[in-house]
Amino acid sequence: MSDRQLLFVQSRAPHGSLFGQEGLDAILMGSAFATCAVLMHGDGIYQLIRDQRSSGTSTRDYSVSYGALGDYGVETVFCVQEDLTERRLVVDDLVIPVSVIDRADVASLLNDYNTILDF
Amino acid sequence: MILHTVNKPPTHAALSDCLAVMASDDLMLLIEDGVYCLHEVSGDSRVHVLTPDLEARGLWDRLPAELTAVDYAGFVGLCTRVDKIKTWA
Repeated sequence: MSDRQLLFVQSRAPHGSLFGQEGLDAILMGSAFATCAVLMHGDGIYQLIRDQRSSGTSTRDYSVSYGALGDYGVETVFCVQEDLTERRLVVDDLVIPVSVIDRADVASLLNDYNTILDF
Repeated sequence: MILHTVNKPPTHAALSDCLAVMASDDLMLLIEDGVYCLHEVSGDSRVHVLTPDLEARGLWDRLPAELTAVDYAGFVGLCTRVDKIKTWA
C-alpha cells in the first residue's frame, strides 16, 4: 500500500446525474491501491438517504453499495452537520454510519489528504 | 395559467427564480431533483410533487400535507389544465 491518501468528495444528489454513481465506483477502485476516505458534501448527503425506491424511474438505487465500503477498507465516511440540518436530515436517516464534522472543520479535512477527487 | 416545473434542489436558483414570478393561480410541479425542495414550499397548496421521483430519493414519507402527490398520469393531467408550461432547470 502506498502512502497516497485519497479523499473522494461527493457533492451532488443521486438520480439527477451519474456523478454520484460514478464517484462510488471510483472510490471502490481507488481503495485497491490507496488509503481512501469519503466526504459527502452539500447535496451529496442525499445519496445516503435510506429507502430509496427507484422502480418508478430509469435510475438505480446504488445507496446500498455504500454498505460495502468497509469491506473495501474504506473506513471513514464524513458528512457535515450543517448539511444535515439544512436538509432536515439526521444520521439515523442514512444507510451507513458516518463521522459527522462541523463545516468549520472541512478545510482541515481537505488538508489531511494529499489528493482530492471531486464528483 | 401556467404550470411551472422545477427539477433542481434548493441549492440551485431554479426554485427561488420560479417563486419570484409565479402567479397566485399558477401551479408548480417538483420533478427529478426538484423534489428535494419539498420543505421549502411546504404550506403552498399550488405545489405538486411527482411521486416516482419522490420515492427514488427516499422522501416518500416526508411529503408535507399541503402538497399534492401526482403520478405520471397526474403530470399529464396538470399539463391539460394549464395554458402553457414553464421549465425551471
